[in-house]
Amino acid sequence: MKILGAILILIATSGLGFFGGMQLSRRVRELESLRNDFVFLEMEINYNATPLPQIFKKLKSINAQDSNSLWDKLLVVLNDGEGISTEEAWRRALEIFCQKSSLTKDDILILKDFGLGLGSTSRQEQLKKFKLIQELLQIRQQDALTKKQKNQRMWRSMGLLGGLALIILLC
Amino acid sequence: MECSSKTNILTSFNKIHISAHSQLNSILPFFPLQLKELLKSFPTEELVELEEIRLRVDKPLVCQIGGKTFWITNSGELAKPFTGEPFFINAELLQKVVALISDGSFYAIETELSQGYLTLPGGHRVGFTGEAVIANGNLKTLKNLNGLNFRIAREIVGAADYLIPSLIDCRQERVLHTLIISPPGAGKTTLLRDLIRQFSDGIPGLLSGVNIGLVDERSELAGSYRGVPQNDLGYQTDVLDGCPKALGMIILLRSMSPKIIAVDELGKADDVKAILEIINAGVTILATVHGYDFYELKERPVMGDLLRSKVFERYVILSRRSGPGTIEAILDGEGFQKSPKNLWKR
Repeated sequence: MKILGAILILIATSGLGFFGGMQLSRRVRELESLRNDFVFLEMEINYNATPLPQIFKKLKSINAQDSNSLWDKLLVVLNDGEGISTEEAWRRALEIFCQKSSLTKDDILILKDFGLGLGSTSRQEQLKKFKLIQELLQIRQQDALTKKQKNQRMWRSMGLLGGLALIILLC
Repeated sequence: MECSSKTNILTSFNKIHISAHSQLNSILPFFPLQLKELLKSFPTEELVELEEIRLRVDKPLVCQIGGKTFWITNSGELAKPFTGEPFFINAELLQKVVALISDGSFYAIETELSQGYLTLPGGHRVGFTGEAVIANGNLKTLKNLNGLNFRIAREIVGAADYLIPSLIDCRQERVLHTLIISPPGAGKTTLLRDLIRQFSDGIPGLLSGVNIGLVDERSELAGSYRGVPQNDLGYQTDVLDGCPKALGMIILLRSMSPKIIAVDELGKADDVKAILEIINAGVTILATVHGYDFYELKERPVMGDLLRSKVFERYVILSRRSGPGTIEAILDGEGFQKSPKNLWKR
Protein backbone atom coordinates (compact mmCIF):
# COMPACT_ATOMS: atom_id res chain seq x y z
CA MET A 1 0.00 0.00 0.00
CA LYS A 2 2.83 2.33 0.99
CA ILE A 3 4.63 1.59 -2.26
CA LEU A 4 1.49 2.35 -4.24
CA GLY A 5 1.09 5.67 -2.39
CA ALA A 6 4.75 6.52 -3.00
CA ILE A 7 4.37 5.80 -6.71
CA LEU A 8 1.28 7.99 -6.90
CA ILE A 9 3.07 10.87 -5.14
CA LEU A 10 6.03 10.48 -7.46
CA ILE A 11 3.79 10.49 -10.54
CA ALA A 12 1.91 13.56 -9.31
CA THR A 13 4.97 15.66 -8.46
CA SER A 14 6.84 14.60 -11.61
CA GLY A 15 3.73 15.50 -13.61
CA LEU A 16 3.66 18.92 -11.99
CA GLY A 17 7.33 19.38 -12.81
CA PHE A 18 6.83 18.31 -16.41
CA PHE A 19 3.77 20.57 -16.68
CA GLY A 20 5.79 23.54 -15.37
CA GLY A 21 8.53 22.81 -17.91
CA MET A 22 6.02 22.31 -20.68
CA GLN A 23 4.44 25.70 -19.96
CA LEU A 24 7.81 27.32 -20.64
CA SER A 25 8.08 25.53 -24.00
CA ARG A 26 4.48 26.37 -24.87
CA ARG A 27 5.05 30.04 -24.14
CA VAL A 28 7.96 30.10 -26.60
CA ARG A 29 5.86 28.36 -29.25
CA GLU A 30 2.85 30.62 -28.70
CA LEU A 31 4.93 33.77 -28.93
CA GLU A 32 6.61 32.54 -32.10
CA SER A 33 3.30 31.57 -33.65
CA LEU A 34 1.75 34.94 -32.75
CA ARG A 35 4.71 36.83 -34.17
CA ASN A 36 4.40 34.92 -37.46
CA ASP A 37 0.68 35.68 -37.52
CA PHE A 38 1.37 39.38 -37.05
CA VAL A 39 3.82 39.29 -39.97
CA PHE A 40 1.00 37.76 -42.06
CA LEU A 41 -1.45 40.41 -40.85
CA GLU A 42 1.00 43.18 -41.69
CA MET A 43 1.55 41.83 -45.20
CA GLU A 44 -2.16 41.46 -45.88
CA ILE A 45 -2.82 45.02 -44.76
CA ASN A 46 0.19 46.48 -46.52
CA TYR A 47 -0.22 44.80 -49.89
CA ASN A 48 -3.91 43.97 -50.13
CA ALA A 49 -5.62 46.29 -47.61
CA THR A 50 -7.65 43.22 -46.66
CA PRO A 51 -10.28 43.93 -43.97
CA LEU A 52 -9.40 42.44 -40.58
CA PRO A 53 -12.22 39.85 -40.36
CA GLN A 54 -11.05 38.34 -43.65
CA ILE A 55 -7.47 38.13 -42.40
CA PHE A 56 -8.67 36.56 -39.14
CA LYS A 57 -10.46 33.88 -41.19
CA LYS A 58 -7.27 33.13 -43.10
CA LEU A 59 -5.28 32.97 -39.86
CA LYS A 60 -7.90 30.67 -38.35
CA SER A 61 -7.43 28.19 -41.18
CA ILE A 62 -3.63 28.55 -41.03
CA ASN A 63 -3.78 27.75 -37.30
CA ALA A 64 -6.46 25.07 -37.68
CA GLN A 65 -4.46 22.65 -35.48
CA ASP A 66 -4.33 25.14 -32.63
CA SER A 67 -7.02 24.34 -30.06
CA ASN A 68 -6.67 27.76 -28.44
CA SER A 69 -6.52 29.95 -31.54
CA LEU A 70 -6.84 33.66 -30.79
CA TRP A 71 -8.15 34.29 -34.31
CA ASP A 72 -10.90 31.74 -33.93
CA LYS A 73 -12.01 33.41 -30.72
CA LEU A 74 -11.90 36.82 -32.38
CA LEU A 75 -14.17 35.65 -35.18
CA VAL A 76 -16.63 34.15 -32.71
CA VAL A 77 -16.74 37.41 -30.70
CA LEU A 78 -17.11 39.51 -33.87
CA ASN A 79 -19.95 37.34 -35.15
CA ASP A 80 -21.77 37.24 -31.83
CA GLY A 81 -21.50 40.92 -30.91
CA GLU A 82 -23.73 42.95 -33.18
CA GLY A 83 -21.90 46.09 -34.28
CA ILE A 84 -19.02 45.47 -31.88
CA SER A 85 -15.80 47.36 -32.65
CA THR A 86 -12.67 45.42 -33.56
CA GLU A 87 -10.95 46.95 -30.53
CA GLU A 88 -13.64 45.65 -28.18
CA ALA A 89 -13.68 42.27 -29.92
CA TRP A 90 -9.91 42.02 -29.51
CA ARG A 91 -10.19 42.77 -25.78
CA ARG A 92 -12.91 40.16 -25.24
CA ALA A 93 -11.21 37.49 -27.37
CA LEU A 94 -7.95 38.05 -25.51
CA GLU A 95 -9.71 37.50 -22.18
CA ILE A 96 -10.93 34.08 -23.39
CA PHE A 97 -7.61 33.27 -25.03
CA CYS A 98 -5.46 33.93 -21.96
CA GLN A 99 -7.50 31.44 -19.86
CA LYS A 100 -5.86 28.55 -21.68
CA SER A 101 -2.67 30.25 -22.80
CA SER A 102 0.85 29.83 -21.45
CA LEU A 103 1.63 33.49 -21.97
CA THR A 104 2.57 35.57 -18.94
CA LYS A 105 0.70 38.66 -17.70
CA ASP A 106 3.32 40.88 -19.33
CA ASP A 107 2.89 39.12 -22.67
CA ILE A 108 -0.89 39.57 -22.45
CA LEU A 109 -0.45 43.24 -21.55
CA ILE A 110 1.48 43.81 -24.79
CA LEU A 111 -1.29 42.13 -26.75
CA LYS A 112 -3.92 44.17 -24.90
CA ASP A 113 -2.18 47.43 -25.78
CA PHE A 114 -1.93 46.33 -29.38
CA GLY A 115 -5.72 46.10 -29.57
CA LEU A 116 -6.18 49.81 -28.83
CA GLY A 117 -7.21 51.50 -32.07
CA LEU A 118 -7.01 48.24 -34.00
CA GLY A 119 -8.52 48.77 -37.44
CA SER A 120 -9.69 52.30 -36.72
CA THR A 121 -6.78 54.29 -38.13
CA SER A 122 -5.01 54.74 -41.46
CA ARG A 123 -2.95 52.03 -43.09
CA GLN A 124 0.31 53.73 -42.12
CA GLU A 125 -0.73 53.91 -38.47
CA GLN A 126 -1.84 50.28 -38.49
CA LEU A 127 1.45 49.17 -40.03
CA LYS A 128 3.35 51.01 -37.29
CA LYS A 129 1.34 49.05 -34.73
CA PHE A 130 2.21 45.77 -36.43
CA LYS A 131 5.91 46.62 -36.57
CA LEU A 132 5.86 47.50 -32.88
CA ILE A 133 4.05 44.35 -31.76
CA GLN A 134 6.40 42.19 -33.78
CA GLU A 135 9.44 43.78 -32.15
CA LEU A 136 7.92 43.53 -28.69
CA LEU A 137 6.98 39.89 -29.24
CA GLN A 138 10.50 39.13 -30.43
CA ILE A 139 11.87 40.54 -27.18
CA ARG A 140 9.34 38.49 -25.20
CA GLN A 141 10.19 35.43 -27.25
CA GLN A 142 13.89 35.87 -26.48
CA ASP A 143 13.01 36.19 -22.80
CA ALA A 144 10.83 33.07 -22.96
CA LEU A 145 13.61 31.13 -24.68
CA THR A 146 16.15 32.13 -22.03
CA LYS A 147 13.74 31.18 -19.25
CA LYS A 148 12.98 27.88 -20.94
CA GLN A 149 16.66 26.96 -21.28
CA LYS A 150 17.34 28.06 -17.74
CA ASN A 151 14.33 26.66 -15.92
CA GLN A 152 12.84 23.78 -17.88
CA ARG A 153 15.28 21.14 -16.61
CA MET A 154 15.00 22.61 -13.12
CA TRP A 155 11.19 22.24 -13.15
CA ARG A 156 11.41 18.63 -14.25
CA SER A 157 14.09 17.77 -11.70
CA MET A 158 12.22 19.65 -9.00
CA GLY A 159 9.10 17.63 -9.70
CA LEU A 160 10.93 14.33 -9.41
CA LEU A 161 13.14 15.31 -6.50
CA GLY A 162 10.30 17.03 -4.65
CA GLY A 163 8.25 13.86 -4.95
CA LEU A 164 11.10 11.75 -3.61
CA ALA A 165 11.62 14.18 -0.72
CA LEU A 166 7.92 14.05 0.14
CA ILE A 167 7.96 10.24 0.11
CA ILE A 168 11.00 10.20 2.42
CA LEU A 169 9.36 12.67 4.78
CA LEU A 170 6.11 10.71 4.90
CA CYS A 171 7.89 7.43 5.47
CA MET B 1 -39.03 73.75 -75.54
CA GLU B 2 -42.44 72.25 -75.79
CA CYS B 3 -43.12 69.86 -72.99
CA SER B 4 -45.89 67.63 -74.16
CA SER B 5 -44.55 64.17 -73.47
CA LYS B 6 -44.72 64.25 -69.71
CA THR B 7 -44.63 60.73 -68.47
CA ASN B 8 -43.51 59.84 -65.03
CA ILE B 9 -41.49 56.67 -65.16
CA LEU B 10 -41.71 56.17 -61.44
CA THR B 11 -45.50 56.31 -61.49
CA SER B 12 -45.52 53.47 -63.92
CA PHE B 13 -43.05 51.73 -61.65
CA ASN B 14 -45.78 51.43 -59.05
CA LYS B 15 -47.08 48.53 -61.06
CA ILE B 16 -43.72 46.88 -60.68
CA HIS B 17 -43.24 45.10 -57.44
CA ILE B 18 -40.52 46.77 -55.46
CA SER B 19 -39.44 45.06 -52.32
CA ALA B 20 -38.91 48.16 -50.23
CA HIS B 21 -38.14 46.22 -47.10
CA SER B 22 -35.46 44.16 -48.80
CA GLN B 23 -33.84 47.41 -49.97
CA LEU B 24 -33.72 48.67 -46.41
CA ASN B 25 -32.71 45.31 -44.99
CA SER B 26 -29.66 45.26 -47.19
CA ILE B 27 -28.32 48.47 -45.62
CA LEU B 28 -29.43 47.81 -42.03
CA PRO B 29 -26.30 45.76 -41.19
CA PHE B 30 -24.30 48.96 -41.60
CA PHE B 31 -26.12 50.73 -38.80
CA PRO B 32 -25.59 50.25 -35.04
CA LEU B 33 -28.47 48.80 -33.06
CA GLN B 34 -29.77 52.20 -31.94
CA LEU B 35 -30.13 53.50 -35.51
CA LYS B 36 -31.31 50.16 -36.82
CA GLU B 37 -34.33 50.25 -34.51
CA LEU B 38 -35.24 53.76 -35.70
CA LEU B 39 -34.99 52.83 -39.37
CA LYS B 40 -36.93 49.61 -38.93
CA SER B 41 -39.93 51.61 -37.77
CA PHE B 42 -40.31 53.31 -41.19
CA PRO B 43 -43.70 52.65 -42.78
CA THR B 44 -43.50 50.56 -45.99
CA GLU B 45 -45.07 53.26 -48.17
CA GLU B 46 -42.28 55.66 -47.16
CA LEU B 47 -39.61 53.04 -47.76
CA VAL B 48 -40.55 52.70 -51.41
CA GLU B 49 -39.46 56.27 -52.03
CA LEU B 50 -36.56 56.41 -49.57
CA GLU B 51 -33.66 58.04 -51.41
CA GLU B 52 -31.10 59.08 -48.82
CA ILE B 53 -30.21 58.79 -45.16
CA ARG B 54 -27.84 61.49 -43.95
CA LEU B 55 -25.77 61.41 -40.79
CA ARG B 56 -23.92 64.53 -39.68
CA VAL B 57 -22.08 64.92 -36.38
CA ASP B 58 -24.14 66.89 -33.84
CA LYS B 59 -26.95 67.33 -36.36
CA PRO B 60 -30.37 65.65 -36.65
CA LEU B 61 -30.66 62.34 -38.47
CA VAL B 62 -32.15 63.25 -41.84
CA CYS B 63 -33.66 61.25 -44.65
CA GLN B 64 -34.88 62.16 -48.09
CA ILE B 65 -38.08 60.57 -49.26
CA GLY B 66 -39.58 61.33 -52.65
CA GLY B 67 -37.48 64.46 -52.98
CA LYS B 68 -38.54 65.83 -49.57
CA THR B 69 -36.35 66.15 -46.49
CA PHE B 70 -37.48 64.77 -43.14
CA TRP B 71 -36.01 64.62 -39.67
CA ILE B 72 -36.19 61.27 -37.93
CA THR B 73 -37.43 61.73 -34.38
CA ASN B 74 -36.32 59.93 -31.23
CA SER B 75 -39.38 57.69 -31.55
CA GLY B 76 -38.52 56.80 -35.14
CA GLU B 77 -41.17 58.94 -36.78
CA LEU B 78 -40.70 61.22 -39.75
CA ALA B 79 -41.08 64.93 -39.04
CA LYS B 80 -40.74 68.06 -41.10
CA PRO B 81 -37.48 69.93 -40.35
CA PHE B 82 -37.60 72.00 -37.16
CA THR B 83 -40.59 70.09 -35.82
CA GLY B 84 -40.64 67.31 -33.26
CA GLU B 85 -37.65 66.01 -31.32
CA PRO B 86 -35.03 64.86 -33.80
CA PHE B 87 -32.56 62.08 -33.16
CA PHE B 88 -29.11 63.64 -33.00
CA ILE B 89 -26.03 61.95 -34.39
CA ASN B 90 -22.89 62.15 -32.27
CA ALA B 91 -19.28 61.50 -33.26
CA GLU B 92 -19.19 58.13 -31.48
CA LEU B 93 -22.26 56.88 -33.35
CA LEU B 94 -20.84 58.05 -36.67
CA GLN B 95 -17.60 56.21 -35.90
CA LYS B 96 -19.60 53.05 -35.23
CA VAL B 97 -21.27 53.34 -38.61
CA VAL B 98 -17.90 53.88 -40.29
CA ALA B 99 -16.54 50.81 -38.48
CA LEU B 100 -19.47 48.75 -39.75
CA ILE B 101 -19.08 50.04 -43.31
CA SER B 102 -15.35 49.32 -43.30
CA ASP B 103 -15.69 45.92 -41.63
CA GLY B 104 -13.78 47.30 -38.65
CA SER B 105 -10.86 48.13 -40.94
CA PHE B 106 -10.69 51.85 -41.67
CA TYR B 107 -7.47 51.42 -43.66
CA ALA B 108 -9.33 49.12 -46.09
CA ILE B 109 -11.52 51.98 -47.35
CA GLU B 110 -8.78 54.58 -47.82
CA THR B 111 -8.97 54.35 -51.62
CA GLU B 112 -12.72 54.82 -51.48
CA LEU B 113 -12.31 57.73 -49.07
CA SER B 114 -9.99 59.42 -51.56
CA GLN B 115 -12.87 59.20 -54.06
CA GLY B 116 -15.35 60.42 -51.47
CA TYR B 117 -17.70 57.45 -51.64
CA LEU B 118 -17.95 53.71 -51.25
CA THR B 119 -20.29 51.15 -52.78
CA LEU B 120 -21.98 48.69 -50.45
CA PRO B 121 -23.36 45.25 -51.28
CA GLY B 122 -26.65 45.80 -53.07
CA GLY B 123 -25.23 48.74 -54.99
CA HIS B 124 -26.03 51.34 -52.31
CA ARG B 125 -23.52 54.13 -51.96
CA VAL B 126 -22.13 55.99 -49.00
CA GLY B 127 -20.68 59.46 -49.48
CA PHE B 128 -18.20 60.84 -46.93
CA THR B 129 -17.15 64.26 -45.70
CA GLY B 130 -14.43 65.00 -43.20
CA GLU B 131 -10.97 66.49 -42.93
CA ALA B 132 -9.17 66.18 -46.26
CA VAL B 133 -5.60 64.84 -46.36
CA ILE B 134 -3.92 66.27 -49.45
CA ALA B 135 -0.81 64.80 -51.05
CA ASN B 136 0.73 66.15 -54.27
CA GLY B 137 -2.34 68.28 -54.85
CA ASN B 138 -4.69 65.29 -54.74
CA LEU B 139 -7.08 64.10 -52.09
CA LYS B 140 -5.18 61.24 -50.46
CA THR B 141 -7.83 60.32 -47.93
CA LEU B 142 -10.28 61.76 -45.41
CA LYS B 143 -9.86 61.71 -41.65
CA ASN B 144 -12.07 62.77 -38.76
CA LEU B 145 -15.19 62.00 -40.76
CA ASN B 146 -18.11 64.30 -39.93
CA GLY B 147 -20.82 63.30 -42.38
CA LEU B 148 -22.19 60.28 -44.21
CA ASN B 149 -24.80 60.07 -46.91
CA PHE B 150 -26.37 56.69 -47.66
CA ARG B 151 -27.85 56.76 -51.15
CA ILE B 152 -30.28 53.94 -51.61
CA ALA B 153 -29.81 52.13 -54.91
CA ARG B 154 -33.08 51.54 -56.66
CA GLU B 155 -32.93 49.14 -59.53
CA ILE B 156 -36.22 49.45 -61.39
CA VAL B 157 -36.73 46.72 -63.92
CA GLY B 158 -38.89 48.03 -66.74
CA ALA B 159 -38.03 51.70 -66.17
CA ALA B 160 -37.10 52.12 -69.84
CA ASP B 161 -40.08 50.28 -71.34
CA TYR B 162 -41.74 53.49 -72.46
CA LEU B 163 -38.61 54.79 -74.16
CA ILE B 164 -37.28 51.67 -75.86
CA PRO B 165 -39.27 52.01 -79.12
CA SER B 166 -38.00 55.57 -79.57
CA LEU B 167 -34.39 54.51 -79.30
CA ILE B 168 -34.31 51.68 -81.83
CA ASP B 169 -33.97 51.92 -85.57
CA CYS B 170 -36.25 49.02 -86.51
CA ARG B 171 -35.15 48.86 -90.15
CA GLN B 172 -31.47 48.47 -89.36
CA GLU B 173 -32.24 46.72 -86.08
CA ARG B 174 -29.82 48.87 -84.15
CA VAL B 175 -29.87 51.14 -81.14
CA LEU B 176 -29.60 54.86 -81.92
CA HIS B 177 -26.83 56.99 -80.41
CA THR B 178 -28.65 58.33 -77.37
CA LEU B 179 -27.93 61.02 -74.80
CA ILE B 180 -30.05 61.28 -71.67
CA ILE B 181 -30.08 64.86 -70.38
CA SER B 182 -31.19 65.16 -66.78
CA PRO B 183 -30.70 67.22 -63.63
CA PRO B 184 -29.37 65.35 -60.56
CA GLY B 185 -31.84 62.97 -58.95
CA ALA B 186 -34.22 62.80 -61.92
CA GLY B 187 -33.61 59.12 -62.64
CA LYS B 188 -31.05 59.17 -65.45
CA THR B 189 -28.90 56.43 -63.91
CA THR B 190 -31.94 54.25 -63.21
CA LEU B 191 -33.10 54.74 -66.79
CA LEU B 192 -29.70 54.06 -68.32
CA ARG B 193 -29.32 50.92 -66.19
CA ASP B 194 -32.59 49.50 -67.47
CA LEU B 195 -31.78 50.45 -71.07
CA ILE B 196 -28.48 48.57 -70.78
CA ARG B 197 -30.21 45.54 -69.30
CA GLN B 198 -32.86 45.43 -72.01
CA PHE B 199 -30.49 46.01 -74.93
CA SER B 200 -28.12 43.39 -73.52
CA ASP B 201 -30.79 40.72 -73.07
CA GLY B 202 -32.67 41.68 -76.23
CA ILE B 203 -36.23 42.83 -76.78
CA PRO B 204 -38.51 40.29 -78.47
CA GLY B 205 -39.62 41.49 -81.91
CA LEU B 206 -37.47 44.61 -81.76
CA LEU B 207 -33.86 43.86 -81.10
CA SER B 208 -31.63 40.85 -80.57
CA GLY B 209 -29.45 41.14 -77.50
CA VAL B 210 -26.09 42.79 -78.13
CA ASN B 211 -22.74 42.98 -76.36
CA ILE B 212 -22.56 46.10 -74.26
CA GLY B 213 -19.47 47.64 -72.70
CA LEU B 214 -20.16 49.75 -69.64
CA VAL B 215 -17.64 52.17 -68.16
CA ASP B 216 -18.88 52.57 -64.61
CA GLU B 217 -16.48 55.19 -63.30
CA ARG B 218 -18.38 55.85 -60.07
CA SER B 219 -19.76 52.31 -59.59
CA GLU B 220 -23.27 53.72 -59.74
CA LEU B 221 -24.75 51.80 -62.65
CA ALA B 222 -23.55 48.32 -61.86
CA GLY B 223 -23.17 49.01 -58.14
CA SER B 224 -20.09 46.82 -58.14
CA TYR B 225 -18.97 45.55 -54.77
CA ARG B 226 -15.42 44.20 -54.85
CA GLY B 227 -15.59 44.19 -58.64
CA VAL B 228 -18.82 42.19 -58.91
CA PRO B 229 -21.88 44.03 -60.34
CA GLN B 230 -24.75 43.98 -57.86
CA ASN B 231 -27.37 45.18 -60.32
CA ASP B 232 -28.78 43.25 -63.25
CA LEU B 233 -27.28 44.70 -66.41
CA GLY B 234 -28.12 41.85 -68.75
CA TYR B 235 -26.13 38.79 -69.64
CA GLN B 236 -24.09 40.42 -72.40
CA THR B 237 -22.77 43.41 -70.49
CA ASP B 238 -19.09 43.83 -69.64
CA VAL B 239 -18.43 46.25 -66.81
CA LEU B 240 -15.24 48.24 -66.42
CA ASP B 241 -15.59 49.43 -62.86
CA GLY B 242 -13.95 52.53 -61.40
CA CYS B 243 -12.18 53.44 -64.63
CA PRO B 244 -12.11 57.02 -65.99
CA LYS B 245 -14.71 57.26 -68.74
CA ALA B 246 -12.52 58.39 -71.66
CA LEU B 247 -9.89 55.75 -70.97
CA GLY B 248 -12.47 53.06 -70.26
CA MET B 249 -14.40 53.67 -73.47
CA ILE B 250 -11.26 53.20 -75.59
CA ILE B 251 -10.21 50.10 -73.62
CA LEU B 252 -13.63 48.51 -74.10
CA LEU B 253 -13.66 49.43 -77.79
CA ARG B 254 -10.34 47.70 -78.33
CA SER B 255 -10.73 44.75 -76.02
CA MET B 256 -14.35 43.64 -75.84
CA SER B 257 -15.77 44.45 -79.31
CA PRO B 258 -19.05 45.85 -77.98
CA LYS B 259 -21.98 46.91 -80.15
CA ILE B 260 -22.93 49.54 -77.60
CA ILE B 261 -20.78 51.47 -75.14
CA ALA B 262 -22.59 53.01 -72.19
CA VAL B 263 -21.33 55.73 -69.86
CA ASP B 264 -22.87 57.85 -67.13
CA GLU B 265 -22.37 61.59 -66.63
CA LEU B 266 -20.29 62.86 -69.53
CA GLY B 267 -18.64 66.23 -69.15
CA LYS B 268 -14.92 66.34 -69.85
CA ALA B 269 -13.25 67.19 -73.13
CA ASP B 270 -11.55 63.78 -73.11
CA ASP B 271 -14.96 62.09 -72.92
CA VAL B 272 -16.04 63.91 -76.08
CA LYS B 273 -12.88 62.83 -77.94
CA ALA B 274 -13.46 59.22 -76.89
CA ILE B 275 -17.10 59.36 -78.02
CA LEU B 276 -16.10 60.59 -81.48
CA GLU B 277 -13.62 57.73 -81.75
CA ILE B 278 -16.29 55.23 -80.71
CA ILE B 279 -18.79 56.52 -83.22
CA ASN B 280 -16.18 56.36 -85.96
CA ALA B 281 -15.65 52.72 -85.04
CA GLY B 282 -19.33 52.02 -85.69
CA VAL B 283 -20.22 51.42 -82.06
CA THR B 284 -23.39 52.91 -80.58
CA ILE B 285 -23.04 55.28 -77.66
CA LEU B 286 -25.51 55.38 -74.82
CA ALA B 287 -24.73 58.19 -72.40
CA THR B 288 -26.11 60.55 -69.79
CA VAL B 289 -25.20 64.11 -68.91
CA HIS B 290 -26.18 66.57 -66.21
CA GLY B 291 -28.37 69.26 -67.71
CA TYR B 292 -31.83 70.75 -67.84
CA ASP B 293 -32.61 70.89 -71.55
CA PHE B 294 -31.11 70.52 -75.00
CA TYR B 295 -30.58 74.22 -75.62
CA GLU B 296 -28.98 74.90 -72.23
CA LEU B 297 -26.57 72.04 -72.91
CA LYS B 298 -25.82 73.30 -76.39
CA GLU B 299 -24.45 76.52 -74.91
CA ARG B 300 -21.94 74.72 -72.68
CA PRO B 301 -18.31 74.78 -73.84
CA VAL B 302 -17.52 71.07 -74.07
CA MET B 303 -20.92 69.47 -74.43
CA GLY B 304 -22.04 72.18 -76.84
CA ASP B 305 -19.37 71.09 -79.33
CA LEU B 306 -20.55 67.51 -79.06
CA LEU B 307 -24.18 68.43 -79.60
CA ARG B 308 -23.34 70.66 -82.58
CA SER B 309 -21.42 67.81 -84.20
CA LYS B 310 -24.78 65.99 -84.30
CA VAL B 311 -23.42 62.62 -83.34
CA PHE B 312 -26.44 61.74 -81.24
CA GLU B 313 -29.62 60.58 -82.89
CA ARG B 314 -31.84 60.79 -79.83
CA TYR B 315 -31.97 63.04 -76.79
CA VAL B 316 -34.10 62.13 -73.80
CA ILE B 317 -34.80 65.03 -71.47
CA LEU B 318 -35.69 64.13 -67.89
CA SER B 319 -36.80 66.25 -64.96
CA ARG B 320 -38.27 65.90 -61.47
CA ARG B 321 -41.34 67.92 -62.33
CA SER B 322 -43.75 65.11 -61.55
CA GLY B 323 -41.25 63.24 -59.42
CA PRO B 324 -38.01 61.53 -60.43
CA GLY B 325 -38.18 60.07 -63.93
CA THR B 326 -40.43 62.64 -65.57
CA ILE B 327 -39.78 62.49 -69.31
CA GLU B 328 -39.97 66.06 -70.58
CA ALA B 329 -39.16 65.30 -74.19
CA ILE B 330 -37.64 62.87 -76.66
CA LEU B 331 -35.74 64.74 -79.38
CA ASP B 332 -34.16 63.64 -82.63
CA GLY B 333 -30.60 64.45 -83.65
CA GLU B 334 -31.60 67.95 -84.78
CA GLY B 335 -33.24 68.71 -81.46
CA PHE B 336 -36.83 68.35 -82.71
CA GLN B 337 -39.42 66.65 -80.63
CA LYS B 338 -40.40 63.12 -81.54
CA SER B 339 -43.50 61.24 -80.58
CA PRO B 340 -42.58 57.82 -79.25
CA LYS B 341 -45.69 56.37 -80.84
CA ASN B 342 -44.73 57.57 -84.32
CA LEU B 343 -41.21 56.29 -83.96
CA TRP B 344 -42.57 52.93 -82.94
CA LYS B 345 -44.58 52.68 -86.17
CA ARG B 346 -41.78 53.91 -88.42
